[in-house]
Amino acid sequence: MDISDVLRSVGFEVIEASTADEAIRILESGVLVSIVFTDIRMPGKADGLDLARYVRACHTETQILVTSAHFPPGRLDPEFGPLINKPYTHERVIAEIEKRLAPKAQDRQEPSTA
Amino acid sequence: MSALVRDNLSDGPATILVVDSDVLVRIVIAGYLRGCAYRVLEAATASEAMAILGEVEITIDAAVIDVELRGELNGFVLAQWIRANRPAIKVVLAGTIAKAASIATDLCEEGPLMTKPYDKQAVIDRIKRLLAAAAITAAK
Repeated sequence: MDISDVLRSVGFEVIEASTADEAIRILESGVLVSIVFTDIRMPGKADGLDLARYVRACHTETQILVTSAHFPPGRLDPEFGPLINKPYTHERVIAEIEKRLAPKAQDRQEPSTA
Repeated sequence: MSALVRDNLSDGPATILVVDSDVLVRIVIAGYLRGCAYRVLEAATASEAMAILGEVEITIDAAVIDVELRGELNGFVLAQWIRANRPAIKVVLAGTIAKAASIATDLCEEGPLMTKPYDKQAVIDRIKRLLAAAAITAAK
């Protein structure tokens, strides 16, 4: 299973985007997204860091989780960190998502969207 | 809605590849198909779809393909590629009539089976019929 299927299997609602532009289009459509899990290197003009900056600027309620096989972990903006290095385990991703969503879960009972 | 399982009695639900360059359309149809118990993979372009189809460990039963894909290859070309290289995969083409007719004329390909915007139940019915027909053929 890929990470999307794994996250669905543990109860998250997952929307997939192939590029940062697609992710931005989804976010701008009004869909409530609790957390964006993004690779840094992606096809298209914008990369995962551009997407993370957009989310930070325009969707302050949305959490960010960044992964990469190439990016030096120490160079990632601490606001987005910690970086999840590739290859990652599914358990690590689930744990990081739950950690970011934990304060929100206490505030509201609605299902989370990853 | 009842769960749909792979009709040839092999393991797991049928896997559908949804190929549409409009992400907001794609996530709706993909979400609907998941809600019908299919496993769904998504691609925004023909190139992405071909990359997924090239993964040997992934078995795909059917592909729902928009005629008007972004990129160098449109949906008809992808459908032709699948029929030539992965003939076991059932293809459902979707598109607006006018655009599909124009592309089909250029490529001498049959017209789309579904028109957009998607009638979700019609997509499900079409996939079920194709998978059932494939199961009958495989049993012979």
